[in-house]
Amino acid sequence: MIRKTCDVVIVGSGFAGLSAADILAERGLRVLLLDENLHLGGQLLRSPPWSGKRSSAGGIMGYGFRLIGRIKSQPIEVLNRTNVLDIDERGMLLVEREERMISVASKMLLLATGARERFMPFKGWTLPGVISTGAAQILMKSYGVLPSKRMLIAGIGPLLLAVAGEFLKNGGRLLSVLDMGGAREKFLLLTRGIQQFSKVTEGIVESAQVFLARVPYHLRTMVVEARGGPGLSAVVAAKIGKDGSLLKGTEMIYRTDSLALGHGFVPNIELAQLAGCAIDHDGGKGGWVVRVGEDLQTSEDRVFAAGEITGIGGALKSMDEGRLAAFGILNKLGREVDPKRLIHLKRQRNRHLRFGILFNNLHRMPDQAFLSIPGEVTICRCEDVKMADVTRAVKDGYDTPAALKRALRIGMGNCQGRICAPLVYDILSALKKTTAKEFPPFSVRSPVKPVAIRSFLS
Amino acid sequence: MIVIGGGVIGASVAYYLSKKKIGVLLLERSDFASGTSGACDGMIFMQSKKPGLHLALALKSRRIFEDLPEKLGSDIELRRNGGMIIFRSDLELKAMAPFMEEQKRGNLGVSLLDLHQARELEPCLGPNIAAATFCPLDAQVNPLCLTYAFLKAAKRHGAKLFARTPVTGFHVKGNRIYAVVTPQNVVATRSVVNAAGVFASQVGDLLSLTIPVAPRRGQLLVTEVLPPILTRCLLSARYIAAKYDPALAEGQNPGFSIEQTGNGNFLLGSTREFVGFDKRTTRDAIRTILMEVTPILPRLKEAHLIRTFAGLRPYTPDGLPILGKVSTPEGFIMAAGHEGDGIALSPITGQLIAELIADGKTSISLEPFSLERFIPKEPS
Repeated sequence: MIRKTCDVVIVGSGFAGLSAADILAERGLRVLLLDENLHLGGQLLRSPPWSGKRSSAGGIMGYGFRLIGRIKSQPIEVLNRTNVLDIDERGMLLVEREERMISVASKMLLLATGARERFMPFKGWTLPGVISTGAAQILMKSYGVLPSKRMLIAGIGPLLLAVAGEFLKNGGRLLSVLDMGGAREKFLLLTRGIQQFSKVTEGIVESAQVFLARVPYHLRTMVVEARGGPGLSAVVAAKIGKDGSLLKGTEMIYRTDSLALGHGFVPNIELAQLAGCAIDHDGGKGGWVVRVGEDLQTSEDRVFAAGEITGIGGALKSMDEGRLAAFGILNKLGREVDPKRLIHLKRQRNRHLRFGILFNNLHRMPDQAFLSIPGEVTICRCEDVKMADVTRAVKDGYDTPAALKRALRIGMGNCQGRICAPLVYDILSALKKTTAKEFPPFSVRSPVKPVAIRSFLS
Repeated sequence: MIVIGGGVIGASVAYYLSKKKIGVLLLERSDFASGTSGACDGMIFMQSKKPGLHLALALKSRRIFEDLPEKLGSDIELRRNGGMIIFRSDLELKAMAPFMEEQKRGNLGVSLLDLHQARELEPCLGPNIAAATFCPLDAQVNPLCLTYAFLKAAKRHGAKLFARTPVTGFHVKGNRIYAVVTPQNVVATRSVVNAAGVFASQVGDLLSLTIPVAPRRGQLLVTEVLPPILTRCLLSARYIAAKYDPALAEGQNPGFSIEQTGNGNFLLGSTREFVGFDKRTTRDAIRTILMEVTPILPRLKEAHLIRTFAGLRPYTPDGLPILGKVSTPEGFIMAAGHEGDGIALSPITGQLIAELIADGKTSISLEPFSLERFIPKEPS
């Protein structure tokens, strides 16, 4: 076992982790930055290694790439491709890297573990050829590869347009964009989000790209079925009413071998849970989130959290939270912090947070959408649990996430519920006509992600 | 009748009682199988039982398992492939010799195998073992399926089951229980079965009854699904010894248990620790268990660990469960303290408690299992 010590260890090198690392290192603290990916930058800051345009990119992305450049020139220790397996009661991290264990001790811990994608299942959603919009983005942005020459994009919210724009830019033929949301949400976002000028303009630029390419953009439309075998060959979509129920007779069929799905994001709170941090459920923040104070400290004394894990809110929120967390940590370590900057940052962060809540609330999937999932649809991919199994078990009284897990093995597979857990919470609350707040989420135990047994033996 | 506890023991008691047409109300403080029964392996081991009473009870239970799936009408993933005890050294073999000598009288059909013979039975075994014993009676089951199967069958026979219903008190008149208190209700009853597992002593506290059941943590590791490579469950000789000799358990290596479940995951255990109700897993235990099991089954080195969990086993000072009536108050019956044997002993426990309540007598004397055995005898 390799042992490391530092002043601050940061888990995650997205906007939040990078922003914090930058400030902390500048103030002379020994920072260890861990990320599970090969490259710094998290889910948003991706670009093919051969691309020369990174630092010349405009807006927040350009800022992010320049930030990565700065981090690389600072005396920060960066460990990529790490798998943080555990955080114990003393705040010690157990990290696996290249099948070896590293134990990390630090004065302070910052969790900036980001978010993962949420899914709305339908018949055939597990067919090869059905991918997430995130996967499509990775293929295009990190590797310069199109998922397919012809693609259909479906899900909810304006982020679908971002993927659509990227796909068109790379020369793909986009069949259509299907959005479960309606025009009302778009209008509200435009008017109320006006202070978030950059986000709104980005949204307009992307929509313009889609419209200029004459791609049909269908609102209040969802995928009902993916057909094919073994791979995807066709997608059936239909219109939905305001409550999320399907409107019969509105079905459309698309011939395609590629479908990208985007139904929003779920905070990656598992490591924070292991560290003993308190969590709250807030639909406006994307579900279960880590509870933080204004200085981004969690309920645990030496543990801070920043970015999507405190509430889904996008890059700007993550960046400001990373900075605030850095100042919180400095303050905690007895270093001086400029109070004026702090006030400004807090105000800015709250604005982003409010926008995030507005955004998330406008793009929440209605209960009816979960209730109308047909019985034969797979909910837990790892253990092959169907919707009918879930409804039957709930009727039999197994009506908490933990009880469902024991009764059906749901969430017991290789992904340990990372994909199905948020879905299970939503289905349960829809079936029980209550909020997911009522149900404690699945318990978390080390390792948070699968790890080679061999790594423990060296 | 009221049964407190919706784990495998409470479920079995409820099933056998309702089968005898006795009205049963089962009260579970949390979710069914949310305690020990939902956080354990599924081994039904005969070889690990102390020869004598303990083994006799286990054997009787084992016979009930034979047609239990048919009787319960559910698949409990029962597999009757036998089990092996692994000896790492001749020293271990020597230490366990008296135990095995006694075991011979139990008619278990245990055979002693050398490395070559053991690997003929289980070709995936590594070369680092001294010897093994095989017992064809050892079996395995899915503990969750078993608990739910008991509950379902009990329900079919008319038992009423309530989850998230803790017992908060009793009404006692004279020397007799006549009601059970829950946050919602006061339920009149003639007798109560305490099948609360690790919480049995807390239930006892409500009656000022000292019940020496303590939580003993066992950590387990789960691997990804692997192709079927292990037919029999494996236990280390040291793991058995550790149960009866706490000094061994507290040491660095309490031994191991290895089971491939019906699903294909491996369950690797375990520890025996007194840490209160703490159900966290520890990195030291994870590492120790992996260091123990990988030489025995080298194929595991190529696998991934997907989860760890810990269960609390209801420990009693002499390793035997506490079964039957207590001397006072009347109407209070114990069915708890099975430590790691709850799954294996659940059918016989349910059957005996049902006999006791329905017929007033049992086919096996419950006296050696009484709570009173822990009360120091007054000098006469």
